[in-house]
Amino acid sequence: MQSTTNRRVFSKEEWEKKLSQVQVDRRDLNLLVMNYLVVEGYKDAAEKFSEETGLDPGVDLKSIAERMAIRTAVQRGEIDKAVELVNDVNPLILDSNPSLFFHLQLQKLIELIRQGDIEQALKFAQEELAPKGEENPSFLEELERVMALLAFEDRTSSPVGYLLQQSQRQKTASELNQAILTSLAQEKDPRLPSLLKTLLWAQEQLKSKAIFPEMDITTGVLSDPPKE
Amino acid sequence: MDETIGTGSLCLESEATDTLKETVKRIKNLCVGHPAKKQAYIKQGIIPTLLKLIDRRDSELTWQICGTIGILANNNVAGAEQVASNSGLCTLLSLLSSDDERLVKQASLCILGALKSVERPAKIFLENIQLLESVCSLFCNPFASASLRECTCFILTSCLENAESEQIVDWFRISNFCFEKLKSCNLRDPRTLTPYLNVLKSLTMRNREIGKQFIEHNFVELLVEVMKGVDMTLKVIACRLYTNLMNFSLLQEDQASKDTAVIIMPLLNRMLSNRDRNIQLEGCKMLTQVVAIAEIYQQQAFDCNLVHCLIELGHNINISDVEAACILLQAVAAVCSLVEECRRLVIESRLFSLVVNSLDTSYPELRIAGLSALRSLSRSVRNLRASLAEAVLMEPLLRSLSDENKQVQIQALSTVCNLVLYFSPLKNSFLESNGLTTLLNLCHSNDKSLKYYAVWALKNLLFLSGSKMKKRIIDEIGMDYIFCLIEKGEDYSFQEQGINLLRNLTCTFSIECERENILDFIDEHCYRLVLCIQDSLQSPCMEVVLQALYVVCNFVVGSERHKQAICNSKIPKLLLNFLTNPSYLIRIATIWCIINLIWKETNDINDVSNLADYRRARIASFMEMGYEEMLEGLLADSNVEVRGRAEMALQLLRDRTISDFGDENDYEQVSRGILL
Repeated sequence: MQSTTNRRVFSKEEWEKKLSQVQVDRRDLNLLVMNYLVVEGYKDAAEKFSEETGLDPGVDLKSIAERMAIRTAVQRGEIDKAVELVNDVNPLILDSNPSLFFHLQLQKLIELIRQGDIEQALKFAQEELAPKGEENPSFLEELERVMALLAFEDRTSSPVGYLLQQSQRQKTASELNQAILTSLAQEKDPRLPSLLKTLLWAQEQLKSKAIFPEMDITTGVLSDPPKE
Repeated sequence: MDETIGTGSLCLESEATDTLKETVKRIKNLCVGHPAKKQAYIKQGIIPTLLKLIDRRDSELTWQICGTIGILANNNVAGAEQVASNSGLCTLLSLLSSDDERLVKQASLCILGALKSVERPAKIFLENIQLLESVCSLFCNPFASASLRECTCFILTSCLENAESEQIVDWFRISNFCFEKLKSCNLRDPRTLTPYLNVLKSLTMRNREIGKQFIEHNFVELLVEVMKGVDMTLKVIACRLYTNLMNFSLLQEDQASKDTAVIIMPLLNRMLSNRDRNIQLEGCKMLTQVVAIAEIYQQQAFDCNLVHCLIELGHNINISDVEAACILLQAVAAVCSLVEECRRLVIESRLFSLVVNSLDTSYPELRIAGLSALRSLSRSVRNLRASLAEAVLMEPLLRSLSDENKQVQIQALSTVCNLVLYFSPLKNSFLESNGLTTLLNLCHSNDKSLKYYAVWALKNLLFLSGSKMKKRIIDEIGMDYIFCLIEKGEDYSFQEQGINLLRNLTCTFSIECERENILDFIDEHCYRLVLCIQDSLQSPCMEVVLQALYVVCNFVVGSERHKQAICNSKIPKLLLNFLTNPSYLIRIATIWCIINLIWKETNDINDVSNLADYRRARIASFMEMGYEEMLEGLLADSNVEVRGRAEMALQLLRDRTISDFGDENDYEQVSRGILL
């Protein structure tokens, strides 16, 4: 069926019929799930999933436990502990990655500011971070952004208040997690998000050529095709 | 040093293991990401202290020590040198055979970090064969962990980059192990192939036999699959290995050509366009290796826009970045060596400025790389001329001829060889800038290589030059010099060059005017020249013989006196023997000598009369010697040109000439200039 704009129109029934003809291997699905659990560090879930599906996780689950301990430490704001744990896994990770190490130290500075230990924060910024900022203009910019927190009474509502949110800890934790995975020669990005991105992009591209029921990626449910 | 170290509970001299562990751990955490602190600890001598504390009975302490040493050595040359010293390495390598996997991993990381930070990691192992043997054994342990494999792989590949390593270890044991592992690797995770492909890549750099075995094991298809994969590190390793096989001509040419066009060149394009400097430079090095194999790959590089990529790189590389500039210029030299379009693009781009500017830097390696690129570009004199290159080129080039570094001089000479080969303003520019004086001085150099290339340049300068140029050169260098090269040449290469000079001198064709008179100085030295040719024709070196034949061809043109001089020597008898020489080039050249000797001349430089009588006498003498029968035999020669010329010679010999007056342009005059 053709629309008035010459785009092909698919009804929901027609679309669902076409989808049902596509074969997807269960093993491939399981691999995707396992990949996500391993990369994101869900050790217990990966273990259980491995037991139930018979799939080999492909990595040492103990290494997942180590990564998760590090991630948890960052998410709790325990940066010194996270650094110690990373150095136990592989001390070269931080030593060979000045940018990552700087971001961890910045996170430590944020935690000191969050705790209200301003004197310690200033001392830490002066002794540890300022010298690095002098060597690298991009580091200096990031340091200045964090130091801007000190200029506001109500830090959480300030323009740089986002630095105090959990999402900032999450960002630092993810960066660290990826570096650890890279050092272990493992994939640092799970495949599932890429797959979803491809799906969304393909739907956008197809919209210019056809009218069809779009899939909501959060629910997996097909909507009714839009009317022209 | 941290103040807490010497005090209280944190002390490296403590007997208590827990205290030691805490201290070592604290040092590690203090030094991570702090180069200044590392340096301070290293100056205090902490590394030897830590090495002494290594105690295999206490894995936990040893594990901490390895982590700390690894940090101290990472990106710190002084620390790395201390770790990579003989005793340090022995201690650390001994830990790699521990049952404690965690300890093995930490020790591997420590060794790897140290070796990557020293200047010449291979040196330590090449000077201590036992150490290298133990590394080989560790690598070949079928149960080795990934980190151990990575560490030993790095050591082996570093050693294999060095040519000295070839004879000292049984590398076949290593290659066989790698082949077994490749067969059993999990292909769903190609990264497991990395250490084995990496070692095989290094092994096949110089070892053809291992390359052959690689193919016999049917691994080429695997290699192609890996090259098509997504892992960049693995793709680069696979490409290098593939190129090594191409280097040894072990692959089917058409398949190799197709794989290079479809896989390798696009990969190189991505590498050269990558933002990471290391990847860009690795791409340049790989390009240099691939295009050096054959001209077709230079053409593919052009088709795949790789020359444009190099030009773009040239915009971003500063000449003060010596390493990068050298690598880039070497790639330019390689890719422009045979393909005209590549040269044209580079000459017309800003990259040419980098080439010229490199000649004036204080770094000899950069001057050499720049000259190497210029040498390739100078094969396209027309393009250089079109871009007004002589305006900027000649001065620095001439300075390079007098460089203190011999390699720079040699490269400069090679470039001059190309620039002076053809008649062009660049050649004139060279002469007007006193280039000839410098060149002639180098012809008298005590250094054999310099002298050789200088004479080569002189030979090219004489190629198709007019009499004015020839006179000028001989006035300065003297005929005696040329005769001495031939008579007393250090080896056949110099004799050959000397004979080539004579060949170009005696050729009366010039690019400036079609025919010129034979030069006075040739005539003056007639008899010495004949003796020289006679001796050269008896040389065991066939190349010398061939060039001497060409001299005969040129020498006898237009001069009865010269013809008689030749015929009065042993040369006619020698020519007879050459008619059955296995080399068709010698047979052809010999027939041309005969043709020129019995050619029906109309003029003579010495105004000799009765030319016809002399000619008849000469022919009679040749008939008596058996020339007619020998030439008849050549009518059935396997080479078509030999057959054709033999027929012509026979016609002349039997006096059934092509016309009453021979066309002077039918003379074979042979001048020779060779591009370097």
